[in-house]
Amino acid sequence: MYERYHIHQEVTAPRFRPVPKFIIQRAGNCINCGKCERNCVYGVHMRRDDDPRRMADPLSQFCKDCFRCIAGCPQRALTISVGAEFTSLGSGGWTPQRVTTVWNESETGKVPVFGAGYRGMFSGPGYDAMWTDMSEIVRPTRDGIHGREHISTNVLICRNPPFLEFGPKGELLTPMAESIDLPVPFVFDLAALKESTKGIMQGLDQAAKELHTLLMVPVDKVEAYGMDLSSGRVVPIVGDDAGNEVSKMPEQVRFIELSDANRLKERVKAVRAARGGMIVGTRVKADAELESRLVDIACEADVIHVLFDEEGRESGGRYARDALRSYHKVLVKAGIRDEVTIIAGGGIAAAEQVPKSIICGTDVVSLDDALMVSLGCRMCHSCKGECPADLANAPSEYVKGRVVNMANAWRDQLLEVLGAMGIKEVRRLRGETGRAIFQEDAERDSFAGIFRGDVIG
Amino acid sequence: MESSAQGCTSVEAGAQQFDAKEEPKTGLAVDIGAQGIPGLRVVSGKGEMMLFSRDQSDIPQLLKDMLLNYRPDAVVQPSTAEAIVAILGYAERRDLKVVPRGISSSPFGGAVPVDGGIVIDLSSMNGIINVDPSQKRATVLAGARWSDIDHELGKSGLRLITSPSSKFSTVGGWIAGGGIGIGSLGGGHLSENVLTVKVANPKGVRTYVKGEEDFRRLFGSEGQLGVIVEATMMVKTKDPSSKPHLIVLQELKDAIDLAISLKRLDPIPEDLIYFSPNKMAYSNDLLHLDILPQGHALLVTSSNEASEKAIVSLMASKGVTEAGEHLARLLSHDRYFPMKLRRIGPGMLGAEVLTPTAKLEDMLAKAEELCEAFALDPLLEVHFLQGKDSLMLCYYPTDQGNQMLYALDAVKSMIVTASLVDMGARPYSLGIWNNSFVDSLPEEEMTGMSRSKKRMDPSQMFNSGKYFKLKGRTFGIPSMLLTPMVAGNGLKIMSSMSSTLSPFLRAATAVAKRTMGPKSRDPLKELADQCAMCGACVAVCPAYNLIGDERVTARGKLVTARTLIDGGKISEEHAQRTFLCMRCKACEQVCQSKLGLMDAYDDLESRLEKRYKRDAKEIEAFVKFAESSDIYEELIDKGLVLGSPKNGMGGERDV
Repeated sequence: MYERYHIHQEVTAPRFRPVPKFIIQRAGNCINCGKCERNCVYGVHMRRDDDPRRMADPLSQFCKDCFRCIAGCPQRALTISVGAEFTSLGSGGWTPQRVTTVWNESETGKVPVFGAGYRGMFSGPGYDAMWTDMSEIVRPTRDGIHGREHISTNVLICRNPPFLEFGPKGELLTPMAESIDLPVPFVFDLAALKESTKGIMQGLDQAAKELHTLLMVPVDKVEAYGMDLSSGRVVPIVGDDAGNEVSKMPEQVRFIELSDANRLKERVKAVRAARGGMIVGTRVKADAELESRLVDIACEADVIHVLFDEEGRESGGRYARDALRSYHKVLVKAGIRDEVTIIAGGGIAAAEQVPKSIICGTDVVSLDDALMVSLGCRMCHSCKGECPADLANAPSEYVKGRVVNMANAWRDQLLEVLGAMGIKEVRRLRGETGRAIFQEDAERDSFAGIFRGDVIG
Repeated sequence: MESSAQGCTSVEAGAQQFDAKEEPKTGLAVDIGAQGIPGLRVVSGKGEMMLFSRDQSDIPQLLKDMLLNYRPDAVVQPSTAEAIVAILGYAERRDLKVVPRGISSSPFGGAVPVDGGIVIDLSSMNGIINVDPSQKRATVLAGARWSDIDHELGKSGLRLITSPSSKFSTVGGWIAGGGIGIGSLGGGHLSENVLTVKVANPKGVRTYVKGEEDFRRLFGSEGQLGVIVEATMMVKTKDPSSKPHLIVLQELKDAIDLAISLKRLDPIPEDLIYFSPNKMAYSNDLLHLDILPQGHALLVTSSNEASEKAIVSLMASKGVTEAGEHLARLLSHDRYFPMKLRRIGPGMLGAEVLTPTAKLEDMLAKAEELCEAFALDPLLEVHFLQGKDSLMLCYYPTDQGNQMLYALDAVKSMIVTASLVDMGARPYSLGIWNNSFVDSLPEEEMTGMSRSKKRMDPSQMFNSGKYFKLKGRTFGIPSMLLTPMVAGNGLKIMSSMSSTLSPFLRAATAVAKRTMGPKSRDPLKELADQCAMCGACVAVCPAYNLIGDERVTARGKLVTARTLIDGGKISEEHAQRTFLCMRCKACEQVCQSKLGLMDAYDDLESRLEKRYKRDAKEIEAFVKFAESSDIYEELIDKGLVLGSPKNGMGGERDV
C-alpha cells in the first residue's frame, strides 16, 4: 500500500530562554493605547496581567522584525534594535541569524518567518554566492509544501551499473546492486559531534527512526551510544580491519563506511569478501589532492563521503560550492558520475544549503553541527567553560523532538525550493547548475565589457 | 420607580458593552430620570455632583456655605438640542432654575449655582458639525473644544482666528464668558467672528444672527439668556509666515510706547502681549532655567507676511533688538498655559480687568504698588486689543494649603480689582465674586442686557440670581455683602484706605504664613491644590469621553483625593470610578499646571485600595470596552493631544 512520507512533528520548547534577535524598547511617552498589542500577531506586546491599563514590557523573543508595532505607534514610542547577545551568537559560517533560525525550526518544525523581508547582504561566501531558480514559483500544482502534486525528496544510496545488459529473451543480465532508498536527502554524521552523551545519541537514533534516515557511527562507539546495528539505521564507520569488522555485523547492516581512503582497494576487497552486496562507502577529507584522486576512489567505493571543514571548505580554503562542482565535473568527464553516490558533509548550516549542495553535485548531505545547534548549541568559538545550552544533560525525548522538527522544516523548505523550480523530485536536481545563478556568472553577464573589455570575476 | 434600583451608565461600542457601577439616584435626579428624556444623562452620584458645585476657583468652604446655595439640585448631560429643550421644559413646569455650564474654566463663578437648580453640563455635546473650507466657516456644537476645532480645521489648511487661553474650554463657554483671548488684537472680539448662535429655551431652539441686538448680548451673558447649543464661526487660512517676536526693554514706558506703535501697524499684528519683569522671572523659575531675559517684555505675533515685514521694519526703525526666536516661541506656547503659576503657590489668585489703554501705565503702577503694600509678588500681563481698551491681568501665587492666608489673599484680589475699577477699569468677567462691580459696567450695556433678558428669558430661569439680582442663602443677607451697594462701597473705601490698611494686611499675612500653615504637607494634597480645575484634562480624557463621568478625569480624581485626605465621605462606586483610566497621559500633556499626574494616580489608587477593594474585573472590562470603541480610536488617531505625534519624530507621517 502506498504510504505518503510524513514527518510527525511536535512543538518542542527550548530548555533555556531563547536569545531574541530584536530588542523592542518602549519609551516613556507610551500612552498605553494598546495599538501595538492589536498590531502584533506574534504576542510581543501585551497589557500587564496585574494592571491591564498599562502595557507590559515587550517580549522581544517573539519579535519577527515586521515593524507593524513601530509603524503603528501613534506616539512613536517604540524602538527596535538588534540585541548584543544576539550578535554575539555563533562563529564562522554559523551567523547569529542561522543559529536562531535553526532554533526556531527545531522548536516549531515550521518554515521560518523572517518578517520584514531581507534587506541584504544579497551575497556572501560559499553557498551565499548562489541563488536558486524560482522561475516556476507561481505554478499552482507543484507549489511546494501546499501543492497538489507530490514532490519526491527521495534519494538512493547505491552503486549504479554504467549500463544494463539484457539477454535474448529480454531478461536482465546485469546484476543489480543493493540500494538504500532515503525519503530525505540528508543523513546524520555522528563521528565528530561536539557532545556525545548517551541521551543525545539515543535521541538522534529515535529521530533517524522517525525520519527513516541513517546515522554514521564509529563502530567502536555503537555499543556505548546504546545503538543496535540490527536496526538497519546505523552506518558503522570501520577502520583498517574492515573485513574482520564487517564479518561480525548482523545482516541488517547494508552500508558501511571506511574511516578513510587509505589502502582503499585492499580494504574494499576485504569487505566485499566478508559480505557480498554490502554498500561500501569511504570517508574522505576534502583537500587539494582529492579532485585528482576522485576517479580512482570512485572505481573502488560505491559511496564517497566528502568531509569539508566546519566552514564548509576544503583544507585549501575552496568552498564546497566550487569544490563539489569540480568533483562532479571530474566524474562526469570520466563517465562514472552516475555509478557512485556522493555524500557531502561539514559546514551545512541552513536548510537552503541542502538543495544548493545538491545543485553543486552531491547526492546526499550529511549533518553534524546543525544537529547540535538544533539542541540549543550556540556555536561558540570553543566549548571551553560551561556550556550555555547544557547540552550534556539534554534528554533523549527533547533531542528527538528538536531534530525531527528541524528535519521537517528543512524538508519543507526543500519542497518549496523544488516547487519554485517546477521540479518533481530532488534527484533531478543533482548537478543541475543551470538551476542556480552563481554570483560570478551574474556579474560577468552584467558587467563584462563595460570597462573597456575588462572581465570582472 | 427606579429610585431604589442600582442605576447603571450603560454605553455600547461595537460588540463590547460596559456598565460602570453607579450610585442610586436621589432627590430630583430620580424624577428627571423618570421623565425618560432621550439623549440625557442624569448625574446621580453625590461625588460626581460635587464637581458641579464649583469652577476653577476654590472659595473657602465656610464662606461658600454661608453665602450661597451652590449645590445643584440635579446635574444633566444632554447630547442633543432636543434633550436640552425637553429638560428646559421640565424645569419651567417645575419652576426650577437652570445653570448652563461648559467646562467651568473661569474662576469667577459664572457657571456655579447660587440658588440650586439644574446644572446643564454641555461639555459632552462636543461635536464639530461642519467645516466649510470654501466659505472659511465652521459649525460646531456648544461643547466643542477649541483645540479639537483647530485640529479639524488644520486638515483643510485652516485655523481659528481667536481662541481663549485654555484651548480645551468649550465654544459655548467662551461665548457666554467673555470672548477676549489669544489673537483678539488681529481678529477682534469673538462676537465679530461668530456668525450665528443657536440658543435653546423651553419653547425650542432659536437662531440668533450677527447684527441682531440679542446676538451681541449673548457674548458675556454668562448663561443668563439661554442655553447655547451651536455656533457658526469664521476661520482663517493657516499662514506659515506668521511668527512670534519677543522684545525685552528695561523701562515700562518704552515697552508701552512700542506696544502702541505695534498696535497701530497696518496690517495689524495677530496678537500682542505685555509681560512684567516678574512674569519673566516666574517663567524662568518654572523652567528651572535662566534663559528668559529680565525686563518689560512684549510678545508680538505677526498675522501674515506683510505684517511680519511691518513688525521687523518698525523694530529696525526704533532700534530695538529682539530676543531669540526660540524664546519667543516658548512664551508663545506658554500663552496657552497661564495656570502654570499655581505650582509655585500652590495656588494662585488675581484680578482681570479691562482698562483704557491710555491709562495703562498708571494702572500697572497702581497694581504693582498695591501688591507691594500687601506683600504680594504679582505678575502682570496686558493683552492689547482693538479699540481703546486693553485686558490687564494681575496674578499672584498664594498658598491654598493655608486657608487663612488664602482667604486674606482672596480679599486682597478684591481690593486690587476695586482700586483699578475706581481708576476707570471694569472687570472682565463678573460671575459671583466680581458681582459687586456690576455698577462699573456702562449704563447702556446694563439696560441693553436687561432688555435682552426680558425678551429671551421671561420666566427668569437661566442662571438667575447672578448680577441682575444676586441671590443668596439666609434671606439673602450675607449675599448682600457681594452687591455693589455693600461690598462695592466697602471695597472702594478699603481701596482708598489701602495705605492705612496695608500694614494690617501685611501683619495678618505674616501671622498666617507663620502659624496657620499646615504642620506637614501631604504630597498628594499639595498636588491637588496645584490643580487649576481648568478642565483641560476633561476634553482629552478617553475614559471621560466614553462614560461621561467627570470623576474619571484628572481634576475629578484630584477632587476625590482632596475629599479622601480631608476625611470626607466617598461612596464605593465613587472609589471604583477612580480606577477607570487608560493611563494614556493625555491629561498630563494638557495640564495647565503641568502636574505629574501618573504618580499621583498610583498614590491615590493605593490609598483607595486600602479602604475599598480594587475591582480588577471592572478595570479589565473597561479597558476592553475602550479598545473596541470608535471614540477611543478617534482620540488615539488624533494623538490624544494635539500635535503629539510630532513629538516623537519631528513631523507627521502617513502610516
